[in-house]
Parts: sequence; structure tokens; C-alpha cells
Amino acid sequence: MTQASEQGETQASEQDDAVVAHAAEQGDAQVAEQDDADAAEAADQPMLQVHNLVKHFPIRSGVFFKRTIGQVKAVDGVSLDVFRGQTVALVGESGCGKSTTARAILRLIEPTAGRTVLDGVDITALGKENLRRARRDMQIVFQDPYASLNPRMTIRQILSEKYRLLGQEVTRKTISDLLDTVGLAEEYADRYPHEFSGGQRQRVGIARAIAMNPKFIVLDEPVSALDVSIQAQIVNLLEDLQDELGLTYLFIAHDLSVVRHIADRVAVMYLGNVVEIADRDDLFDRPYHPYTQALISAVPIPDPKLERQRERIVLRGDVPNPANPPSGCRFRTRCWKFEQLAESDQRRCIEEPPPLYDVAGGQGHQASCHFASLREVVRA
Amino acid sequence: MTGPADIDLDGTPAPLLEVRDLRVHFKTDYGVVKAVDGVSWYVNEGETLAIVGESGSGKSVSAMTILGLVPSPPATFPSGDVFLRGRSLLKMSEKQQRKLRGSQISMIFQDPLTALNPVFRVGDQIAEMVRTHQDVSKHVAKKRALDLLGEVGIPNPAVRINQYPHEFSGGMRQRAMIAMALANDPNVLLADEPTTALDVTVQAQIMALLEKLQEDRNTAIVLITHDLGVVASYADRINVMYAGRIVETGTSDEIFYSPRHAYTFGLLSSLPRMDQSRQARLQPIKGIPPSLAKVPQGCPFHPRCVFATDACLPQVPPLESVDGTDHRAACVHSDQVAMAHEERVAQ
Repeated sequence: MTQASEQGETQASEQDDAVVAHAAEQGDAQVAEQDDADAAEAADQPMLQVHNLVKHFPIRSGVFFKRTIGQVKAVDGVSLDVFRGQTVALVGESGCGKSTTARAILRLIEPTAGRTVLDGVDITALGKENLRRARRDMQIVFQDPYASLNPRMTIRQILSEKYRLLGQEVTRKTISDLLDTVGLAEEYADRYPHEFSGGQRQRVGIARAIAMNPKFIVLDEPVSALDVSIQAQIVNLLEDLQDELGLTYLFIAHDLSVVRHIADRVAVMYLGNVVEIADRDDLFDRPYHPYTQALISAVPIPDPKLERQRERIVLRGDVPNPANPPSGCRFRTRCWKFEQLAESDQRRCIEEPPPLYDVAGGQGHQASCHFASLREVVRA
Repeated sequence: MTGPADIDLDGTPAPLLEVRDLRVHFKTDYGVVKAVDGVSWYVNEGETLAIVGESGSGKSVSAMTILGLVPSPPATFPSGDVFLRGRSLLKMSEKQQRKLRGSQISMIFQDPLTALNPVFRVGDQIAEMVRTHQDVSKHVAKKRALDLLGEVGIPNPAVRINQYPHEFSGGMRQRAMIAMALANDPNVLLADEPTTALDVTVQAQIMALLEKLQEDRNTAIVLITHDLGVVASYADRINVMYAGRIVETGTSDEIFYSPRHAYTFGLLSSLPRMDQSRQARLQPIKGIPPSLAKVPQGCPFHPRCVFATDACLPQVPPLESVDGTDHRAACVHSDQVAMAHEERVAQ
């Protein structure tokens, strides 16, 4: 079932074996077994629970005595559940706080407030040493494979470092199995990052993330820097690894086409808040929030006839400064629906921040808009 | 130098801008990099021609050559000519060429932050563009800059005109650059990845702006991009480039609905689609694009191609017409590609 190896750089037939070998070597039983009991457990307990996560960055001023003169509210109360083996995508435009959210979940930056629970462990409460140990369960793949690999280390050193830091044995076979899992030949192990193409580097980044058999991986725009023909290779690899290793993904992206393909559930962010969250098809086919509608309508679809019929909602202006967000609903300054409302309704948008309302008829579909209503935007 | 001999005398009007058999090579330590290797295309008034390709396919270099932005050395130009309304650009004197660049032909770049000068006010940079090509006073040029900023949809232009590029957001900078490109009412606008650095909602704004300007002024737009979605929505005709050559050319509908080159077919098959519920699996193109210093023999795509046979090896397949139309593809197996495409659509 897996063929991540149509990549030419790979040895296809050994793929499945390698995955199993790799998993077995880690001695992690839960990976390979996926019986009904597991599935039942997965249904009621999320792998990752994020409660009301907040990250404010202080704005400081002054030469000698730094005073805090304001706060950039990068993430302002985000709650999410990610179920075992699922992919939740966090989408939004630059500056909406999606990457900050992911980094605060992993505690790569310290959240200002909120709670993150990974497989029953409260990550936010862990001390330094325990956090380090917990990192083996939560990993990240970065957007830019050029910047995230140390140019002075060989691939073997980069991958071995991981095991060393977490106090595990590395044998020659460890690294070659790992490379095989991500579709790279063993002879690549002693090369340096500059000898690789973008797609191959991203494979190394993925190998590093899965090395310790994590439960949960943040994928921060993992295919955005890659060429179109390479993107599909990496997307397929990520899907194969998820199937084989039972991984749970938080997928950060701005490319909604990839999101529609890879995600099970999608959360749309705007200025530090989740404005709409729904299962994938629900979100794309039945969006309720005016921002989600504008965002989806703005994405061009590679189909000229469809594009000639589609209506594009063009928003005015740019995303406001997150240090000084609009009162009430943060989207109202660019909202196409706001313009159509009566003045009394507009006042509500200005004064009352909308909570995440349940959408009628949707399962776990929520939108934070006082006047949310369905508008189809993918097709005409 | 620009004698009437350059004008097409066979009665048909010459296209607005035409590139013929352009080759741009770079000498490097690793061999000759053939960034552009025998590329011909044209664009007419009011038309949008898209040049699509992945990084390193040579799509930007051909446009930059037109504007004389490719330094030589290291570049050499073994062959090729560029015609503006039938007049050869390359046969003109440097002075004449400079006159055309920025007035008749102008360009917008992917990254407006590096294309704008950070130490000059935005208004002054636009006014400079006006004064380079028109004999007007500083005051008039500034007034023109103000009008242009308003025209490209920058709110509060009277304030913005005195600001520096860092005070502009990404979308605003791109608008300012479009204002600069339009300063002298060009006939041809070369847009090199104009929206790649922008968010999708801002991309929609910028593309809507370009469409409107094109309608008002009948400008020809050459849209260089890797984004097949953008191409599908805005292009009239498409050139698909691979390893420094055009491998397929045709109208937007021809390219998307009846691709005849294996690479075009592969690209279209590998795309995830936002309008379709989850496809079982993406169909990637195997391998990676070749280094332009070591382009494979014969059809440069053959090592990655699922249709490849020995017939692909002896020579580079020429661009041949499909059923006698302007739709042309450089593929030995174009019939199989057509059949494979129909099968895929039928699924």
C-alpha cells in the first residue's frame, strides 16, 4: 500500500520492511498494532488537547530601563483536540499565529497561558528535564529544509545527534533503516546537506522527526518551499508514515489545496484566534465564517472553465496589526458581510467578540461569527 | 540600425512582443549552464501569456534577458532576437534599448522588498521612473506618482507617497511596484511571480488589479509563475517550460484539458485539488529536475517520464503542432499522453 518510493531516489520494495524494522528496533509496541481496542480508545481520548493557549509577546521600549509598552497578541486563546492517527491542519495567512501556536504547543516558545496535554501528559507543567524526555514524543518538521539542517554536519551526524541527546544507542543499522524509511539510500548518510536537493533535505528533516518514534509531529509548512512535482512526493511520504507508524499530525499550511488532501480536520486562524473549525469536507464545502469563505474563494483552482465561473470574494486591505487588534470581532475591518449589515448589527460586531458557535447540522463544526451563514465558494 | 527590413512584410501584423530562438548560456566551473535553450514565443495586445515551470526551468531568465537584466559575462547569447512590434530590440543601440525598457516594456518582480530601494521614499522612486522617460518637471512627476498610487488602490496616497518601503505591507509594496511599472504606460508588462510572496487574499487583490489595468490599457501581460492555479484563472495562452525549453504551448483550455506532453500531464496529475474531496493518492513525478549543466540527452524529461522509450533518446523532440493547430508539444509519445489523460479524466 505504500509507494513513497516512486521518487527515483528510493528503493521502493524495501519500504514496508524498513518501516517495520525501524519500528521494531525502537521496541514500541503500540506502533504496529492497530486492533479494534486501539481504535475504540482513540475515539474517546484525543492524542493532543490544547486548552485556551495564549502567547503574548511584549513590546519593549527604552535604552537602559526596558518598559513594556504593549503586547503583540500572537495567539489569543486557541483550543484544539487532535485525535490519534489524525491530521489537523492549522491554516491562515502570515501573521495569524499558526506557527506560534504550534511552537507554543511544543514549548519551543513558552506559552503565556493555557494548557497542553499530550497523551495524558500535561506538557505545560513539565520541568526542564522531564520536558526534554517528553520531546521524544513530540517532534517538528520545519518549512525550510535549507535552514533547519546544520551545514557542517553529515546526515549521519544530524540523525545520530537525536539519539545521543535522548540517551539511546545508535547502530549502523539504525541510520540506514531510518533513511530507508523516508526513501533515501544508505550511501547518502555520509553526505552534507548542501549535496541534497530541496526534496531530499525535507526527507532528512522528516527522518530526524520520526527517529525517536514520536506520537505527535508538527509539520510546519513542510512542502511550501518545494517545487510542484516534488510536493506530491513528500505529501505521499507523510501519509505513508502516518499509516505505518500511527502518527498524529498538526499540519501548518497556507496552501489550502494540500490541506484539503492531507487533513482530517481544519482550523482556520485569523489574528491569533481560531475563527472556524470543522471536518475537512465540511469546511471546504460548507464554510460558515466570512473569512473562511473569502480565503477559500481566493485560492485559484487549476481548472480554467471552473475558474471562469467562480466568484472571488476580494477582501479590502491587509491584516491589522496584532499589537492593536480591532475591538469585538477581529475580522470586522476587512469583513465583506459586515458591510452589508444594518447599523445595529454592526454595533454587535464592534462591541461583542464572537465566541465559537456550533454550526447547525455540522458535527463538531464551529464558527466564530455572530451572523455566520453558509456560502458555497469552491464551485460557482 | 532599426531599418524597415526588420518589419514583417508578409502582410500579417507583427505580434506586440516576440522572442525568437533565444538562447542564454552561462559558463560555470561545472560546465555550460543552458538556462534558456532555443525558446520562441509571442504575446499580443490585451493578452496574458503565462510561462510556467519549476525552479531552474529558465522561465525568469528569458524575461530578464528582454529587459537586458542578464549581465554578460557570465551570460552568453548564442542565438536569438527579441522583436517589439516587429523591430529588433537587440539590433538597437544601447541607448535606444534603454529608452524602451521601463516605458514600452516594464517588469514587476517577485519580491518587492528587494526591488524597491529602501533609502528612498516610494513616491520619489515612482517619480524617478516618470522623469527617466518623460521630460517633465519634478512637480509634475510627483503629481503623476500620486495619481498612480491612487490608481493601484493604495489608500491615502498623499501620505503614502512620502513613506519608505519598510512602512508598506507586502501587498502595498507590490502595488507600489505595479505603480512604478505602469508609470510610463507600457505596452508589455512582464510579471515575474508577482504574487508568490503574498497571501492568497492579497494575491486575489493584486491579480484583480492587474486584470483591471489590462482591460483599461490593453496591456499585454507575460505572467511567469509556477502556480498552475493562478495560470488557470488568468492566462489566455500558456508556455510550459522544462530544462530551458518550451515543451508545450497552447491555449489555457488546451493545456489543462488536453495536455500532449508527458511533463504537462505529470504536473497536472500531481496537483492536489481544493475542489475535490480527498483523492486516494497523489501521483508525483518521480525524481528531481535535472541540473541545467547536465541536461539529459534527447528529451530532457525522459529519465522522469512514465512514457519514455528508446525513441526519446536520439534527439530533443521538436515542438510539433497538434492537429495543425497552434497547440504544440515536444513529445514523442504525445498520443499516449492524450490517451492517459482521457483515462484519468474518465476516472
